[in-house]
Amino acid sequence: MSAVIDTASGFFLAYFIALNLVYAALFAISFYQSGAHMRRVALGGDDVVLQSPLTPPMSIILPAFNEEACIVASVDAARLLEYTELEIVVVDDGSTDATLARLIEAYDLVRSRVPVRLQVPCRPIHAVYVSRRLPNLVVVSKENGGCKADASNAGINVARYPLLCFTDADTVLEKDALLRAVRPFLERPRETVAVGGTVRISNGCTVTDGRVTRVGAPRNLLAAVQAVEYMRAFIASRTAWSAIGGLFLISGAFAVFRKDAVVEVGGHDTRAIGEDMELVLRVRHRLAARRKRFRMVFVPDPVVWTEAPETLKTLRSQRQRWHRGLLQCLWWHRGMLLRPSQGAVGILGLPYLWLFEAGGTVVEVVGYAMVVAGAVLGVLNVEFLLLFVLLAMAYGVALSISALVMDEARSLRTQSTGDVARLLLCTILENFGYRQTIAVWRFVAMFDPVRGRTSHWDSLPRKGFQAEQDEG
Amino acid sequence: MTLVVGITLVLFAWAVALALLGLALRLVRRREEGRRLAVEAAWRAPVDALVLDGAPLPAVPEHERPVVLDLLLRYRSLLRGPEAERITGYLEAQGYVRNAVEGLRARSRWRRAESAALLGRIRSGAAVPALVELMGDESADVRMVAARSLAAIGDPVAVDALTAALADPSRWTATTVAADLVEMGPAAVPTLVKIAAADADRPGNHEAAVTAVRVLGEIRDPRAEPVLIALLEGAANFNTRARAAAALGAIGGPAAPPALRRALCEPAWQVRAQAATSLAALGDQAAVPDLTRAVADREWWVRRNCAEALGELGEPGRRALAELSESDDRYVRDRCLAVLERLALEDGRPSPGDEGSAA
Repeated sequence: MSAVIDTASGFFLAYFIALNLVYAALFAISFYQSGAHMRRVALGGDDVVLQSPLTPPMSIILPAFNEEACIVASVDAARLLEYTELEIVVVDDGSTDATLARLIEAYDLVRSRVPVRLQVPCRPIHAVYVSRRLPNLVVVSKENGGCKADASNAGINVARYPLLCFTDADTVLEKDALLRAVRPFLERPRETVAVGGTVRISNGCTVTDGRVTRVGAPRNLLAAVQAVEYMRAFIASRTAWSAIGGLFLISGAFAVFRKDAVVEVGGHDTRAIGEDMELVLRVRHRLAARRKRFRMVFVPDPVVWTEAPETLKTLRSQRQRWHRGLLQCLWWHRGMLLRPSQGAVGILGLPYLWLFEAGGTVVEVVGYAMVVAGAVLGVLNVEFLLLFVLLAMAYGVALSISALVMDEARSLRTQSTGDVARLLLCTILENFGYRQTIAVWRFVAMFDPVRGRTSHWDSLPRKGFQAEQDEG
Repeated sequence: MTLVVGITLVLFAWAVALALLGLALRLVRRREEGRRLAVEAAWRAPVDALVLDGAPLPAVPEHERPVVLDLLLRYRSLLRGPEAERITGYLEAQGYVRNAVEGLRARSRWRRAESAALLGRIRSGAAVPALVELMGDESADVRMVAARSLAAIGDPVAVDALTAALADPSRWTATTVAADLVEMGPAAVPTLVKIAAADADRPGNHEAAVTAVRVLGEIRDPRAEPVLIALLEGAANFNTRARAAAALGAIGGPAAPPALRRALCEPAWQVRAQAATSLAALGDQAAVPDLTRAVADREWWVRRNCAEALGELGEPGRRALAELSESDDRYVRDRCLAVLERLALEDGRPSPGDEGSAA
């Protein structure tokens, strides 16, 4: 028994070291890249994007399902975005609430006969509405497709412009987000097929007229912990994956794609649970197979604000859906794994996801089970366990605080000292229960397909931005 | 075991140190901002006297120079005429231009870029030769800033260097230069025409010509009309032809409408689609018969643009749309009905779509 315990301990320690070396490497790359990026941003360029005749027009697609609380605020926020030529396409995916009615009333919509050119598959479109007040607004009413992917596809069919910005109806974009996101397309127009940006938590912020006017940490503890988690993921990870050419995920909350690339692969796959990651991998898979030179870029500046779940139930639902989506993507695109022709994603990105994201959940939960079993059998090496837990915690806290300080140093929109202190506290608190609970939820989610569970629209209850503002 | 304990302690210490560093950074930033505002308030009156009356500015202590410089540059960005000249003259006399020109030779690309940006903000004509030379820098960031600074200074000598940068390997630099050339306006036209004509049929790289054509379309100078027509009818690259059609739609001229009408029959659909839009932009009612024929084009975009163009061409266009809306061709019929409906919406009249309105 002692030999088994020793072997298991050695395995967990080796796995832990490998994982954290990867994290450290990613953070180091992010740190270097962020420095260069900030200096480049300081040289200016937003005005160039606004003035240059070469800036391509863009369609922003807002899929909505039962978003009556925030749909008008979302469209108003999109209207205020700084961009040369922007079309707003709202897709009402057969909402059962008053989403469409709110839009019709707010923007004086009338039904249009404009023929829709079906370039990617989607459920039947009932009607296309145009606004008497806003010439650049189009609203699509369609049969419910059961997922955001189908709604996005309807938006792709209606969109007129060569660049597509996918976002959610419940997110708020910074006013210059599109100007920053389009820059990689201007720098290398032939190669750039997709650009992603940072997603931040809007809970605790003050939103006025579709804009985040005061940045603050969430008052809800669960949301505050997620704020730290998002910061770590976007600052310490995505920047690095983008730099090494292995970006495997562009968040569906904010992604800009070249329309021809999306149409070429047939749009979003409506069977996908994590349609954002699946689209990224499929575009990569297809373009690499055709030996085309392309790149996908993460730009830290374009910030979008989204509401984080504030209850355990909704958080569990979200995280289990994400994990099922991850596993599905990994399985569907297993052919990319370790293929040199797939570039950094095949050689580095996907092995990382298999080993440390999908595999990490199993290792973590098995580890917890072994601790319990060891304690019951009386063979637990308490000293080793305590030390291991402390080491893991110290590393997690150090990484989170590094991300927080990096964000603080480069952010133009500062939070109050109290808010920063609250986030600092969350870097410690997340180690007591939060991370373990998430791991167990993800582990359970692995068996959902066996239990016949499928995924539908993320129907997380939203307070809406007005509600957030009123509370503030 | 001792090693693991040591690593744990180091990590905790690192976390605590970083947290303290973050909080200290906030305090330092706040204090710096307060100090900057105080210095700026103290220097505002002497700076106003320099800018408005030409009164000499007292010697500025070394540690206050960045704040005073920033104040002067903000004034410089807002002012024109003698006040602006006084600021540039003062900064030249104080050696800021000389130092920045030296900074253009720094090893760090960021230092070179920052120096170039400063020269652009000072807008000193003395910096133009050095900035033109910098357009050949190895760093795209530096070339981009140099282009912007040259455009800000606005010296006609820089036009050739800027126009040549339309062929820059970094398309970001080309994008910047395009915006700058649009801002410079007619002064850039002769060189742009030369680039467009010379590069149009160079095998492999049409981007400089295409960009030059797009900039010409934005500047809308009639001198560009002949070369644009020549490109529309003779360029080997379809993108150059389509962009020439777009530019002609913006510029116009007596020979443009016939050339665009001929382009409705050209092999590349991108050119046919753009020609339709440009004919509408020029208000060429003589094009109604050609557009009516082209509404039945095999390409979706050509059909769409032709129908939209007819909608823009007044009563003859609308009459043609009304006739086409009874066509046997479903695609033609639907497209024309959609345009008629949009026009009715714009005019505030009831449209065929209104009966289906959920409002």
